[in-house]
Amino acid sequence: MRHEILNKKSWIARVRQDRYLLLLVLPCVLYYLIFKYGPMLGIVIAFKDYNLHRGIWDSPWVGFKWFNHFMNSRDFWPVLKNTFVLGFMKLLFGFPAPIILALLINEVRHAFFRRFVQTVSYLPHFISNVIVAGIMTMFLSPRNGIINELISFLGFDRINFLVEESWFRSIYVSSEIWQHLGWSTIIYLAALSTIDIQQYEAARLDGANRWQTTWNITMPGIAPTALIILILDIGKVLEIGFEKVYLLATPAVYSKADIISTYVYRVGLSEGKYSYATAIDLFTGMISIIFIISANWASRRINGNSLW
Amino acid sequence: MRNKSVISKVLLVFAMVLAITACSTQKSNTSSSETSNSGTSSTSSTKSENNPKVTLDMMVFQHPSWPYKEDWAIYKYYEEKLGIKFKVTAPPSDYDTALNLAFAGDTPDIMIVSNLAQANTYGSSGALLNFFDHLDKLPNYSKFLEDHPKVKSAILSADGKNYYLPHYGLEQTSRRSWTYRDDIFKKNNLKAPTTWDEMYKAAKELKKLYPDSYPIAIYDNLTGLTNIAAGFGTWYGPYVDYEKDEWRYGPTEDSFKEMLRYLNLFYKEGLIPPDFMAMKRDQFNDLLAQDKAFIANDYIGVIDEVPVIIQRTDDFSLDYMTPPIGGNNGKPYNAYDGLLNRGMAVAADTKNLDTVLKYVDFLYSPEGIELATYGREGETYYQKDGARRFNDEYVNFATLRKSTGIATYGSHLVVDMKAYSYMSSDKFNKAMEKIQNGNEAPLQPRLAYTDAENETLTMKNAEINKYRDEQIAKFILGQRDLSTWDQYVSEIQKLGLDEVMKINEDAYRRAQSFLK
Repeated sequence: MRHEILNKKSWIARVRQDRYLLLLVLPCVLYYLIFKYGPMLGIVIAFKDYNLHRGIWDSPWVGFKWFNHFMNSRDFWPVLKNTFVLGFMKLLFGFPAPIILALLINEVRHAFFRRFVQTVSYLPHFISNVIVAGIMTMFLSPRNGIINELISFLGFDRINFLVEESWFRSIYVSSEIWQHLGWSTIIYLAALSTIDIQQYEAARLDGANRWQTTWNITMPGIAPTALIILILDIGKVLEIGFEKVYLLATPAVYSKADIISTYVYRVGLSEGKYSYATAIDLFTGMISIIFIISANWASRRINGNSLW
Repeated sequence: MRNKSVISKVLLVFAMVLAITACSTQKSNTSSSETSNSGTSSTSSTKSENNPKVTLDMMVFQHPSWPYKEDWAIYKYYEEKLGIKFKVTAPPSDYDTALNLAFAGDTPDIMIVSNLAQANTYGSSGALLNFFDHLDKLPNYSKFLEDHPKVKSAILSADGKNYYLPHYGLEQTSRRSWTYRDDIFKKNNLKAPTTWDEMYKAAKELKKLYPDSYPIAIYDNLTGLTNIAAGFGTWYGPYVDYEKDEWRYGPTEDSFKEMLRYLNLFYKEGLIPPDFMAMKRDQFNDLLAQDKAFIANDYIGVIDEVPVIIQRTDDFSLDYMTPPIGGNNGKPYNAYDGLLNRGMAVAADTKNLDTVLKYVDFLYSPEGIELATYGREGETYYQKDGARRFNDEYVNFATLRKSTGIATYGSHLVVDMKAYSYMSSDKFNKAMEKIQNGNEAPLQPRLAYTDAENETLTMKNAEINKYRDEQIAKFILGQRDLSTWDQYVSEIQKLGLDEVMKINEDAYRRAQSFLK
């Protein structure tokens, strides 16, 4: 009893004591409430036949109509499969790439060169997708693209990359890696800098070579970071941006390039079917939540590291 | 001590926040003072003219090449002529979203809508004015519709109402057409092809003369097919065959197959760019600029525009080419969309109904068309040898629009295109004449669907169009053999083509019944 009172009192006291800190965090909380949680209420239009003029509340309820529509549509399975395969490939190749680059940059001893490589490698992150798609189209052109010039110089047949469906996924994934590799490396470099230098010195005294210190000190040092990134990335497998896929796809590769977001654009947004688009997005969001929860659970079971 | 440092940090943050908000308030202050300034100046001018004025809110789409300016002369003329002032909103980008927001909040009196379907959607939900309810106050508009029955058939809603005022005139310049490098053809003693067989021969010849060329330029996914299909006597989508008075689906017709056979042949032999689907306008212009393409399928405006864009005005010539006839059903036709997509609409709950009607009806009157087309003598144009010429500083149509606001959205509904033709080259004017005299497929109707029809169409068309475009692309690229054509046709039918065609047919008959 006495303990409880003390606790209660201390709670108020703690608020009083930390009032300035709480005040500092307030804008951030408000930001999330207003811009992230508030708009979530808009999800109701997934269950309504939303009409812009009538507004959200006066539009009629339609239950799960849009979800049924989507799941019974002929495009449902192909689109889901394409999204999943593309996302999974991106994860498979995109996840290890920044770790490798970070390790390589970390081994560079020349400070200027190191910073130079770092800067150059993360610049593409700031180029818009429209430009990247334009660059890709030009590089891959079968007429005068630099890649095809190289291929024909080496004596092979030119490849019409953008209309061959077998090439689409490789092109997309490699351009994604090129664009975001350097940027994702930053967090690993930060993790690397937290490793205690004394550990390296001790290892070197014990006669460990570079490979051994990398394997036994560096890797365990960044493992927790890598794991968290991996869990977050797994949650994003189905969230593939619309822009670049849309810009790189030609009708000839629809069977590989039509993903959930391009479908939403084509059938939902460009036709003004906001309810349908919202329903599909909600559906994708649910799957992403399942992914991230299972990844988190698995990670906690295996080695105790997890997001929550 | 520790407490103090926390406080000082908090204060610092607050100071920063204050600084930022101060900046923004300052900004909004200046802008509001600007508007109030213009407000006072306008009231003073009102007083000086002794003319009671009404201000109308108008939301317009603005073209990036002639963005809206507050001091455009054309609006001044309307103000003086009709006593109507305009408060124009011109969203810098993403017009549809801005318009949607306007419908959710304060709807302007007059607005530009993006297309007929949008006007009908908002109209049927009660947001827009049905002009047919007010024809007694719109004598000039009524007469315009009587004089142009084709236009009238393209502006109705599914239940025969009218929420959409059409633009008339400017659509003339947005015609698709075939063009060719007449200088290169002349130099090599070649004749412009009149059929697709001749086109093949000419392209082969040119490819021999210029080995790294792709003689025929098409670009941007499959959009070029719209115009090519017309030359084969078919259509890239559902269309009405006026002779037989029946609805047909182009992409499953034999004529369409014939077209794909040619395109596949041209692709195989390198006569069209191998990456035509991924090519955008820039690459298309590059091909022309580098003498790597000699026949082009694009908008007719390229005749005058491309030489300027690629900076080869003296040694480069594109001229109009009669559309080549393809196959047995072919005709020398280009496809033509008719009216511009955008139209004008009026809010159903406008507080200035009479003023709004006065304005839009004026824009259809002979006097209004005159003013909208030319502006005012001595200010925008002058007389020269009995003809009207725009001031010399308006070197072309674009500059005229940019500087005066003439022929921009919101400031006109009808313009007389003859007024501007002297600004184009003779070659272009001749081309326009030819294209309008027998080189154009009959105009397809613009249909209005009910909500239920729209829903079916959205779902079915999404599946049909995706399958259709994917397979058409594969036929052209040779990834699918044309011997499997029948399979493709039956697959499209399985996707619900009959239902889609019936909806089109119904909508068409319905629209016709309204016109009787």
